[in-house]
Amino acid sequence: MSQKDSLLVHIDALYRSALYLVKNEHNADDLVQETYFKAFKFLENSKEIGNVKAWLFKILMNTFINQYRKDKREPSLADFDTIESFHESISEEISASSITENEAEFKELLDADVKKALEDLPEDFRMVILLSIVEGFSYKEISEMINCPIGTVMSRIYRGRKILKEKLTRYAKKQGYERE
Amino acid sequence: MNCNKVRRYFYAFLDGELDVEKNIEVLSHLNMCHACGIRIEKERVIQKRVKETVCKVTAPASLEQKILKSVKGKPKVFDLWFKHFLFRNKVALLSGLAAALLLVVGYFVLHTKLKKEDILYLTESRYHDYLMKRHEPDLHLPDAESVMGRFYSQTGLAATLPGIEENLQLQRSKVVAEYLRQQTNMRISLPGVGEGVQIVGASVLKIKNMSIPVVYYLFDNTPITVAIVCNTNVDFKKMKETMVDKMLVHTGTGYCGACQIVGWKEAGNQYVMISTLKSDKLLKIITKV
Repeated sequence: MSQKDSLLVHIDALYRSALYLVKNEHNADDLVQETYFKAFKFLENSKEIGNVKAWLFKILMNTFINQYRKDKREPSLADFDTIESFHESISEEISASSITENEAEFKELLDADVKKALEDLPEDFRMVILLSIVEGFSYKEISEMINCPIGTVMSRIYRGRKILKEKLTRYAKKQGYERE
Repeated sequence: MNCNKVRRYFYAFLDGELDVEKNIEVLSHLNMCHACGIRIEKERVIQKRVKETVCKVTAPASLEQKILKSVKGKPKVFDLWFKHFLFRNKVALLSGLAAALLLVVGYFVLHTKLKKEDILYLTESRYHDYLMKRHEPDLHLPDAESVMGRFYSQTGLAATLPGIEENLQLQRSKVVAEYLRQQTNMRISLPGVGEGVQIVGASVLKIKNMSIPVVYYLFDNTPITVAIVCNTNVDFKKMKETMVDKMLVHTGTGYCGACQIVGWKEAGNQYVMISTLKSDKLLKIITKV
């Protein structure tokens, strides 16, 4: 397998993340093309890359953050979070959240619902959710990819999943009613 | 661990991010607490569902072809230039500054009136060729690092003289302006550039019997093209207007799909037109000085 081929095996993974980040096929195409353009350029210098997939995702995320993000000047949603305040904040959320989610059956969710719920998430949250749930990167790898402390990554994953769960619960309940 | 505490660790537990001790605590709680068991099962289902949905997306078959095509068939001369400027310079690479900017400078209309499409096409096509490595500059200027490298190899002194970067930048601007004046017989003032932007070369292109001055810049990873026109006949009315950094910017797509004109501004008696790959960052860097 040539060096280029070993990079191109990750094209589907990169493309699906790109599509969920930029939300349209044309831009996803561009984002992935640019990621590979940069990656190939770097490889011309025949550097040894340890974890190719993680490296490609880092390039993708950097390109996205620098060029495709709607408003680069917007301060990151969870930048001020530390692990401490993160744990404080979630204990409140836990007691406040109801058990209504148990009424919902998530298996009945439509792909369109999941897609919408994901796309509605703020960019910072969407990024870490894609990297953790879908691509299975470790928190440490994610923190390196998006240049954030690991505590911020944890906080974003926690909050992102909370929001996602609430949305999906709503959709699932709706699906349930419609079925009845 | 009580339920609340355990639930805090749910996601980290599912992601396999807990240390051994906490992992055991969560597991033993889940063994005896039915409510938490149900909750974590829900979380697992959501996680699985999200993963399944996203993974149904696959890249279009044409994308791989496009990518491979874009890196094939580069002229050797350009490769040499590219290596010469970018890859020989390890310091610049390491500091993340190894990439190219393209600046197309100047279209002075003498006898023929130039249509808007011509300027857009010109700007975009130069940028595109540069990006695709199909074009190389006539005039090569050494970048700051290699100048310092040469200084070092000749004198044995590591040169971090005060102001050397700024001086080099100024020298390079002068050299380029003089080169373009000789080639085109026109007075061209280059736009001010921000920190970290370097002029690396210049060319004069013959298009429709006209001489088009082109200046090449290096900054970070984003290429850019800038055209300067001396007349006001360019019609930007059909382009979309947006404000970027208190500056009116016109956006419109160029000829290759990857390129995009992102704006223009007045600079002396010239009009500077800027094109980047969907980024307004470099526009600010180019115009802030």
